[in-house]
Amino acid sequence: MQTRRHAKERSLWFCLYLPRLGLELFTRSLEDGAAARPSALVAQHRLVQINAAALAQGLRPGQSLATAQSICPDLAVGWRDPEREAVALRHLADWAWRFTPQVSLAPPDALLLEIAGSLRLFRGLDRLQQQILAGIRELGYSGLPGIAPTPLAAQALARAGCSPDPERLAAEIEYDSTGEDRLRRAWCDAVASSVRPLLAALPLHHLERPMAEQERLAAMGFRTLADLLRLPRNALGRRFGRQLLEHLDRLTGRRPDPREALTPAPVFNTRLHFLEDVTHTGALAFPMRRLIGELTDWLRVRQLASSRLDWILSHPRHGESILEVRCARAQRDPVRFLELSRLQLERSRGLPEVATLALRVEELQAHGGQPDTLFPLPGEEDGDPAALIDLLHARLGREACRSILPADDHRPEWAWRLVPPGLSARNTEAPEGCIPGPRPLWLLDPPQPLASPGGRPHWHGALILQRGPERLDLMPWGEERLTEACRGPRDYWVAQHPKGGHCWVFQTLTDQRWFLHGLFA
Amino acid sequence: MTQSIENLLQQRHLWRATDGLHTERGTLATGFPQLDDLLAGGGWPTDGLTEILGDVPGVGELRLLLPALAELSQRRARWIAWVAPPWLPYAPALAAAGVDVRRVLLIHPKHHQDLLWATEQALKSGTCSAVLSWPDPRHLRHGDLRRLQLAAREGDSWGVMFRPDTAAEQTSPAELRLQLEPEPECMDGSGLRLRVVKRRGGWPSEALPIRFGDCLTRRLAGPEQTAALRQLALWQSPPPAPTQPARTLRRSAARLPRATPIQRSAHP
Repeated sequence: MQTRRHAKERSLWFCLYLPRLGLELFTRSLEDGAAARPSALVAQHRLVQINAAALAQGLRPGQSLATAQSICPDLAVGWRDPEREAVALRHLADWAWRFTPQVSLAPPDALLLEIAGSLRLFRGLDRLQQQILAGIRELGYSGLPGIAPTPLAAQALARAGCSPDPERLAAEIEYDSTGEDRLRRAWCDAVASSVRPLLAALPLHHLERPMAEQERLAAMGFRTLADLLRLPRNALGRRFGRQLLEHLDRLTGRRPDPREALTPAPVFNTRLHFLEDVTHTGALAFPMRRLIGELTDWLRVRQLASSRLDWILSHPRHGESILEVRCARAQRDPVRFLELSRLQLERSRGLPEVATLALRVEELQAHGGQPDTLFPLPGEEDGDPAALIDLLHARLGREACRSILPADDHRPEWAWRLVPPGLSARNTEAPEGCIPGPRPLWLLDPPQPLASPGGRPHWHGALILQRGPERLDLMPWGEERLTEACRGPRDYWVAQHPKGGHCWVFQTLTDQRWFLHGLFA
Repeated sequence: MTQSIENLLQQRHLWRATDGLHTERGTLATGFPQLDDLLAGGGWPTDGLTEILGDVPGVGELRLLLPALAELSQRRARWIAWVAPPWLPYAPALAAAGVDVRRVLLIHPKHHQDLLWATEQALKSGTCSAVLSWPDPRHLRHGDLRRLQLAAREGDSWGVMFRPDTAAEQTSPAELRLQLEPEPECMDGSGLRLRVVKRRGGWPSEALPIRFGDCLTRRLAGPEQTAALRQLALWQSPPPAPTQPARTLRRSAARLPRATPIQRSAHP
């Protein structure tokens, strides 16, 4: 029992350090080929981060922008924005939440994951690290790992780039010990023993301490962490203050270093930034695919689905435009999301250039529950009726696609209503057709005025009235829907036109005018 | 030689006159027995295109389809799509004819390209039991119809294209083509005259009268006969002699034997 509790208390921290977060915010909106272009992140007219292509051209961080541009005229430049980086880091924390519930931020450019509890699920530290690094690469970032028993040590090792190698450690772990506690303990021990020499040799400038303090330490000839730890604590405390002592204690695990676990964001909202404004919609295809991939991944991890996506395109000089993508049924199929988004984008012609593209999804519901099907008939091998509606909506617009329902009213203008398709499934009341006289299959909406030379209605020639009249009195309410001429009581007739077809005409009693209202097709 | 003929006969798109009208493909009774007798498989081809040709609005083109549409709407949980209908389908009348109106989907594309796209998507989606489409006759190409025919086959959907009379002179990949004309003897709107321009497993037919069950001009019961009616009775001229329609019909019938081989060779 004693050992069990002891094992539970031990933790293992994984630091994911993103050395080029600011730059990769921009480059990840490009496809891999385009990322080969030299690009740099610039703050106060100096290069702070550059990509491999820029490095190959001879650029170095710290150079002034003017120098860099004279060396490499093709350089793509993004401006540093700490706030934007903080938002991106927060999104990454949401993403990392799939590996462990204990995710915290180490601003400005690192995440801390407590992973001791996830070792069994991911079948070992080596595989877990592989998954984390592959995942971050897929998102378009480059990450460096740091693994240690304390958060500060993990951070320092990640920044120094000398994390213990879990592949090598895995060889020492005996997987026969299937118990979770034993597995956890084995990994913690292996990491702790391999971290000790690494920490001892850690150069001091990788500790996150104030610059002035680091300079003093360097001036006194301390180079590595081992140099400091060898000193008597009291003397060190007197000279450099309690804060350094506390920092060292937390780093070595003498003092607990609790971290606040983030709660995952309840909605998906991710923005992509472009190095250069996008002028044609074709160039948005890749960023859209990237964001939809991240969205469906996000939904999958959370067992959610959505029926509405909002694309927010910000334009440098024209504010924002929003493209709404709606599906008839909540889902998380990336192919369909992409298809619908593409159609929506094609529809909105004449968009100004785009500086950033964001995807926001707020309407979420649980996935995998009984889907709210349009037609609840079991055992149909047919496709999803809602899929067609989504497709039509996306290309033709929502108003181009309707269902029609009979309404309980004797007046022809009120005897039907147009409804959004799909709603009708729940609306199962079918009014019993108490149709007093013949009713046409085609209705003209609104009724078409007919010429009536000599008082006789004409449509394709003079009409022959065959049956009627049937008097319909349109009640005063709702009459504002009618044009002035159609108001009041009417006499309906079935008439034949000279071509041989039959139509439905009426004459208003008030001013004896004739209208065509339907065709008996 | 015999071998290659055997091979040819294996192909689906060849039919032998001796095979008659039997087919293994999906069909749906039209609700008009005399029409069923004419059609391969005894009904509408529910996985291909049907063309309804006619210039007279209100000739009864919808009533001809209604029994089948009603059956489809009741039988399958699929849409019945109406692409670019010229007017509004009157929901109470559809419901009265037995169509489950909840299945009806109205699609109003803004231009011809969207219309073709929507028709094709609806046909091949596998979610429509029938797609009725009113394409713009000026822009419709033979290739478009071919695409739609393939889409209908793919989505197991019955495509119904409404086209003008003049289209009868052009070839078409549709499975079935019917030409509709008013029936001169049915002044009361209770029937129409139909001619099969093209059908699977058969030759074009002679004109065939179709009678609908309901009669539009049945007198209303009760004291509806008003003075107005008596006045208007003056306008009710006697039925015109069936000169004009009958003549067109005879003319087109005379053209038939010549048109037939072209039709067949154009069949895919």
